[in-house]
Amino acid sequence: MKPVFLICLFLLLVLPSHQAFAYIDPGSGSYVLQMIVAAFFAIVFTLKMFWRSIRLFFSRFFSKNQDGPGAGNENS
Amino acid sequence: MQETKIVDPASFRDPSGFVFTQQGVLYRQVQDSYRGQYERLIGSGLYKELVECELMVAHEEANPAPALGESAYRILRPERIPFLSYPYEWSFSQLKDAALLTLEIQKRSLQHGMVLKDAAAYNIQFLRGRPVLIDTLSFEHYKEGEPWVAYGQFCRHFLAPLALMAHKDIRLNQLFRIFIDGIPLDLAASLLPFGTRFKVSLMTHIHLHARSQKHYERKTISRNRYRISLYQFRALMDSFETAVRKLNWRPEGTEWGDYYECTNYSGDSLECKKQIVREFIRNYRPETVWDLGANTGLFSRIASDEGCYTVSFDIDPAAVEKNYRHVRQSREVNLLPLLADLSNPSPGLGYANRERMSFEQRGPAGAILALALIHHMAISNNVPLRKIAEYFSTLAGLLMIEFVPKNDSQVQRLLSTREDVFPQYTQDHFEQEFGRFFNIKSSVRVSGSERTLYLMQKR
Repeated sequence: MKPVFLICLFLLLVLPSHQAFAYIDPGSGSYVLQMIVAAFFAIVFTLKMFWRSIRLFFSRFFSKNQDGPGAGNENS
Repeated sequence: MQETKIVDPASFRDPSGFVFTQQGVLYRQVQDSYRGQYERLIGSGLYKELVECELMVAHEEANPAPALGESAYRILRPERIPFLSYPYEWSFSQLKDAALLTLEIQKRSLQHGMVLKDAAAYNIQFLRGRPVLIDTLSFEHYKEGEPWVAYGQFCRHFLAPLALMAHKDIRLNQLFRIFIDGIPLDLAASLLPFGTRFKVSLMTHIHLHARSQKHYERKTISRNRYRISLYQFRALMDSFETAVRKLNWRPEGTEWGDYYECTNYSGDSLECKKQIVREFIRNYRPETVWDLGANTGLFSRIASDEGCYTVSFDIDPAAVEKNYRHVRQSREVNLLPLLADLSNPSPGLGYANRERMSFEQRGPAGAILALALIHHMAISNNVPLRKIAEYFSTLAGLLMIEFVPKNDSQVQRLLSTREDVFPQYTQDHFEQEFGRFFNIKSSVRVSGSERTLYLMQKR
């Protein structure tokens, strides 16, 4: 997990600095971080979906090969 | 003459509307400013879908509408929640199910072009054994590119407390009592074990989030510069769901979780006690029952199975967790297990101490069950019998209470490590003190034990 931590930390640190105004916006930190983590999790999500489809393909492929006539019929 | 309308003291933050009661009927006023969102919620089919799937509380549009002020668009009459509960009273799985419900609603909302504009745990209540969203005005139009405004709130109200309960200490949901808008992430980050930094979701949504909040504490940003696509938005919700699902807690090793397995009750005594409780419930048929010190809900189920809405309180998080899992597994609709420490029951909290009701304010119940409880209050907590009687008389009109005498092994256990400073803890004194506030209708000795069950009615 260390590389993940470093990537996020890097993204956090390289963000452009913003103008400071006279009032506090407690949501700013959440807003900025959300953008970074959403980009990161979009990659994770894509990989997850890709991996899921590969597993699905192989599980279907193997179950097809293993299924003989009547296989999968619980009542048989 | 115009009937008095009482605005709910917890309903003031969201300008889209508010909740009020009139003649005991609950209404939700939708303000004209929320018209577009409300029409979308109904018109898109989202409301219908959420209600049909029992994810959200149903309502009827009131006609004629008892509006408050000039800016009302609709007046709704929502289904009543039998007992309002709060996250500091929930077991681990109750909070986890509330989190997953919020995410499920968010996913379905996105499919209808809407999004949750808040993610407070207080928007979730338990109805028929399941969590439901009660805030009909929590939805707004989804605008592509806009980040989730409730991102921080979801982390404070759900992810941080669940992570603390799972990874640090189950009792840390009590922080909700102090922090009304969820657990501050810097506090959560400092309390969580170091190892949680190596869990991707917790590292990002809590540890880095806390650092980011600190970094931007005194800065403001141009929000238009920060955009996330719908795909990224969905990925973010997926990461939350994965994180929440991975958080687990097993109820074991606490004081009461295995009470019935470890107790010295004989089978006959237990059966006798069950029979007495069942007869009481059948004879009086109270609408609501509060079982105080309910453990995993053995006696609560006698009441709930007879159709009484029963709230099953216990001090032990493991017992409440087991009880809730039972409710969920058996799809029980009349039972709500909750955490309660009767020596320090939930106070009124929030703005002016009126946003979250105290334990007592949510009463009175039709009847109270106080079985195998009195010795814990009187001996473990040094509460005089008169004070217990007085307090119970404020909670319900009917009381079924078990007196556990000093020679009972459970009382002996409590006295084994301390000086007996309770000379007045006797059955006679018990009857005398409770007799001040209640009429003792009947008393029955539990066979095979030294204990006595009393049925009392408030004077």
